Formats: sequence, C-alpha cells, structure tokens
Amino acid sequence: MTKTNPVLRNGVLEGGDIPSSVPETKRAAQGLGAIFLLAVAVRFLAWRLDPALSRDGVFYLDLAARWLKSGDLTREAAVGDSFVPPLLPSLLKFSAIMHWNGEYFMIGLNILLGSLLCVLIYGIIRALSGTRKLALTAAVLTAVHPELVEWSIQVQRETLYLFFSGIFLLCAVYAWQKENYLWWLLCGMVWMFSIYSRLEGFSLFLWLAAGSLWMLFRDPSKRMKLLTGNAITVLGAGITHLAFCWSVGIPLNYLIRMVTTKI
Amino acid sequence: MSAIIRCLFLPVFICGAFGVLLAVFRYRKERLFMAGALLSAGVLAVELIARVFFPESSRYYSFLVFPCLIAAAYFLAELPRRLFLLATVVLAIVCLGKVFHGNPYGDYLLQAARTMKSDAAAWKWPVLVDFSGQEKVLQHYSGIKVADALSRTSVSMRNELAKDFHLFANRGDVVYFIDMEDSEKPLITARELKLPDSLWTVLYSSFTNRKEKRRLTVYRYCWPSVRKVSGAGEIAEYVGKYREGFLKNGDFEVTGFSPEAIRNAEKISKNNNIFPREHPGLQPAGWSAEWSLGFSKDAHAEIEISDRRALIGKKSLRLKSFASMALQSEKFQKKPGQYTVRFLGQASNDALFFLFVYEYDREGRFQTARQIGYGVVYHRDIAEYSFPWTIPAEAACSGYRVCLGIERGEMFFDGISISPFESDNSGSVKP
Repeated sequence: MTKTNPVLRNGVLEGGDIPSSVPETKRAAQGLGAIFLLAVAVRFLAWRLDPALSRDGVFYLDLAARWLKSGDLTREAAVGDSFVPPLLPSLLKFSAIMHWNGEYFMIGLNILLGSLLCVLIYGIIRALSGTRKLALTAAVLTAVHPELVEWSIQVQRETLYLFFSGIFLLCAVYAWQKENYLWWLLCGMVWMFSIYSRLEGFSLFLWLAAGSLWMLFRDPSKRMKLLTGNAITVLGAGITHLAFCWSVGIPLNYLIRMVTTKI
Repeated sequence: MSAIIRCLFLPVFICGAFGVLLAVFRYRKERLFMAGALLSAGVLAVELIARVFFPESSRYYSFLVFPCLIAAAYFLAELPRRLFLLATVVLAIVCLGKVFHGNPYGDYLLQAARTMKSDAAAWKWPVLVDFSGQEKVLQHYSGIKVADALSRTSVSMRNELAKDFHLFANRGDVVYFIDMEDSEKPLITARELKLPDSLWTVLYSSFTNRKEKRRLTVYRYCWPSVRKVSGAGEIAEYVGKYREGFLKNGDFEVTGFSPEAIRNAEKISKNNNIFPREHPGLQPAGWSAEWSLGFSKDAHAEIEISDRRALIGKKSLRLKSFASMALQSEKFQKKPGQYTVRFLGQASNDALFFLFVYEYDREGRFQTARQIGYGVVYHRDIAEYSFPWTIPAEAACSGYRVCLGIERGEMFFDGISISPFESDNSGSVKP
C-alpha cells in the first residue's frame, strides 16, 4: 500500500496519511471496547449480587400487564395526580406480547444501554474537541459510577432517559458543528424518547435553545440556519410523537395530560 | 443538595467540582468550557424544574451525571501523568467498592417472600397485610394476595393490631402480617394480642442492613373461624351435624314478609333502598332488614331468597350492597353457656361481612349489640364461618337476635345455626 505525505497549506495539514494517528485511533477504539465490556461486566455482576426488584420495578411490570389486559394506558398509568411516562410500559408490554420475561428483558436492555453510555460520553467529549485521554477517562468513570450501575440493574426509567439524553447531546453538538439538518431532526426524535422516559426530558430543549443562542451570539450570520434547525427539531419531535402514539396505541393527548397533571 | 450528591456519588462530585473550577481558570480552552457552561445551564434548568415538581428524590437529578462525569474526567486528565493514573484508578476502585459493597441482609425481601410462599402452599386462602411499604415486591415474589386497603406504613402495626385485631386478621385461613420494626423493640407476641400461641407465629425476621436499626418481620396468623366446605358430602355433613341448631328459617328455604319486615322495609326505602319493598315475594320469612345498621342512600342494598346459588337445599340468602346493610332474625331465647354461631357463605366478589348478637332486657327492650364475627372474603369458595358466643351465667336477657350483614360486595349465606360450643369446633389449625 502506497502512502502519501500530507501537505501544509495555510498552516493546516491536508491530505495524505498520518501514520501516527492510525494506531492512536485503533488504541482508543480498543480502549473504548474494553471499557464497554467492563461496564457490562460490572452491571451484570451487580445484578447477580442483588437481583431483587424494587417497588417501582414491580409497579411497572404490573402496569404493563394491566395495560395489556385493559388496552387503556391512560386509565392504568394514572398514579395519584400524575401519569407514568409511556416508554418503559411500552417496552414491557412489547416483551409481554413477545412472550419474553419482562423483568429479564428490561434489565438486559438497561444493562446494554447503561453500558453504551460510556460510548456516548466518549462521543460527546470527542465531538466537543476534548482529547482522547479525557474522553476515555470519562468513559471509565461512566462504566463504574455507582448510581449509573444501580439504575442499570433495575426495571427503571433512568437508564432509558440518560441514554436518550446522551444521544440528544451528541446530536445537538453535531447539529451545531455540521451543515446537515439531519442532526437537528435526530435531536427532535430522541428528545421525544427522552420525554417518554422521564418528564424532565422537556428541559433538554432549553439546553438546545441556549446552545443555539450562544452560537448566534458568536456568529450572527448563522441565525437562519439555527432557527431552521430548531424548527426541524420541533418537527422531528412532532413526527416521532405521532408515530409513537400510533404504534403503541396511546392517545395523542397522553403527553399533554402527563404534563398538565404535574402542573 | 444532599439528594444531588447522593445521585452523583460524593467522590465523583468532588472531582467534578474541581474540574469546573479548573475549567473556569483555564478559560483558554474555550470550546470545552463553553460546552461545560451550556451543560451546566441545561442542568440548572433541569434542577429548577425538578425542584418545582419532584423535590424528594435523587433520581430527578440524574441528568447531572453528564456534566459531573465530564468535569471529573477533565480534572483527572489535567493532573500530571502519574498522578492522573493513580487518581483515576483510586476513583474507579472507590466506585466499584460502592457498587459491590455487600449488605449481608440485602436479600431480606426475597427471603421473606420465599418463606411465605412455601408456607402458603399448605393453605387455601392466604392473604398478606403489609405495614412495611413493600407489599408490591412481596406480592410479586410470593404470589400472595395483598389486602390493599390495609397496607400502610405510617402507623405502628403493634398499635393497630392492639386496637382492632379482627379488622386486619379475618381475611383468609392464613394471614401474613409484614412489619418494618425498630429492631430494638421486642417482637409482637400472641400473648400481647390475647391469642392462643398456636394461632400467632413469627415466620421470618431479618435486619434490613447493618446501619439502620430496622427489622422486617413476617408474622403468621391462622384464622380458626373459617373452613373450606367442598362437595355435596361435606355440606350434607354440615346439615346433619348442625340442623338442630338452625335458627328459624336459618336455611333460608321459606319466603315471607312479616309485618315487622314490612315496617323495616318501609324505613330503609326512605333512603332509596327499595329492593325489599319491590320484591316482597323474595324476602326471607322470619328475618327483616335491620334498618339502624347502614342502608345509606348509596348502599343500593338487595336482600332476597335466591336459587341462583343454593348452598343448602334449594335456596339461600343473597345480600348485595355498596355500603353497610344487615338482616336480623326473629327473637329467640338461649340459656347461659358457651355457643358457636356458624353459617355457610360464598362471595361473588370481594365481600366484607359482620355478625352481631343483639341482647334484649327483661322488658323486651334492646340492651346491647355484641359483635361476634367479622371477615373479608377474597375467594369464591363455599366456606363455613364459625364464631364463639358466650352468654354469662349472670345474664338476664329476655331474648336475642342474630344480625347478619355485609359492608360491601355480594355474598350468599345459608345454614345459620347456634350450637353448644365444642372444643374442636372452632376450626382446625394446621401445623
């Protein structure tokens, strides 16, 4: 294989192969893979040591069973003055339809998504121009963080929420950096899944809007792009909401009731 | 703040705080700093929302994990190489230590549920009354029905049982009481509840962890007043044994509407309980509505002799109501002594019944209402319910009435009898 040397133009290296960076990328990928496996192992062991479900976990399993029986989540998911966000019950209902054990399915999924948080945080830091060292260190801490591990081994909503919030952050950073509206659309889609996991997901849009304002402040010429991007995010969220409600069989106003009952 | 620290884990939180300070002082790394500032702004918004809506749980701050981990990693990565490695390894070990920090009593709920499940296999109608707040988990792992309305954590089980034991206890042939107790206090004993030792047992007891002085205890109460009756043979045996003690029309085969019953039906119809007045041909002879016990406007009480479910003979008494209602027998006389009042019952839905004996003085005036029975029926089987009743030697009553009622649900009754107390006729308790 022929290798070419990079050319220095305007103080920037362009083209050619940079031999030293290839092993570094490979080492980082290997390191990230190892950290992911560590995260899976830690979560699995922690679950084996404490496999008992929490009160909330039992509640969600029961809720999914009742929903499957009655077909009406609005009636079943009302808890006191609030409604349970629908993503976790939907996943449990799906597992019941597939005749899978809901408890194992959800804990397995949470362990997987909780471990993938290491990859996400690595991606976020790298996208923010952080060094590999910094990104890998954050990934290691994510792999062993006690609360993240605890949330991953329960039938709970936190891991789903953090996973979708993590993807949202990554997409938001890419949306600001790259000239492609697809990232804004993805932002909107995962934003909805974050809200379906926990109501606090709503505040992510504040974060996106604040970031956009900052970008606007730095470069006013981008205002149309930023405005369009934010609009596309809202559009993506709306499309996702329609598709989700239709596919899992919940009324369109469920989200509104979920929010208004809290207020 | 403590909820946030608990959510973030203190050592990581401290590193994160140092990381934020470091980022502020190294403003030249503008983009990372900007990202940190934006994350913090988002987090602040989350926290504000969380504070307004959900102030009580650390989970509502879960989003803070992202900036905290990034800031902690930033702090570590900025340390000199050797110190960086050492600090990262130490922090990771501390985190793992927290993850795998074993609680020797950690499986207490699973153990309690398994113990109950294996014990309940020998019983027909096990029920769980919970004072620990863990009824959902215990029900999930044991499969035992929870008496929902009773499960509560804000009160002392010891005090509640001392006040109204039968309200909690009479719910199945075996009732498991779950209590989260102060481990320094003694266990609740049968003597304390004025019960025979054979009826009240400590089935399981465990500390919940090493730090808190708490103990989860499972007590087992065997309700001796209930016995499953299945098949025509056992019902015939019941009739043969207790027919002599049947109250007048105690097998509810005869219909009739006496002047007293008509008067009482008129009284309850004022509260819109018009069923007896509209169906006089279905009323039990020798019995009448006890208008002073319930029959509120929302009761919609129904009383009838029904052939829908004949427990003995061709008909039985059906009571249905959404609130308290009761039926009283005609007056009868009994000599002082120990008796057992018993009947066969079958519920159509979760029903709550009660049994009183009314005492009348020498002039025939009402004197006392003595509650001798109470129970909640969660099953749909035919069962014999028997309750002791004592007339003291010094009693000077001219007569008695039996008053049988329900507080909610629908239930069929038959074969109500009063017979002299026998030592073995209060139901058998299994080992």
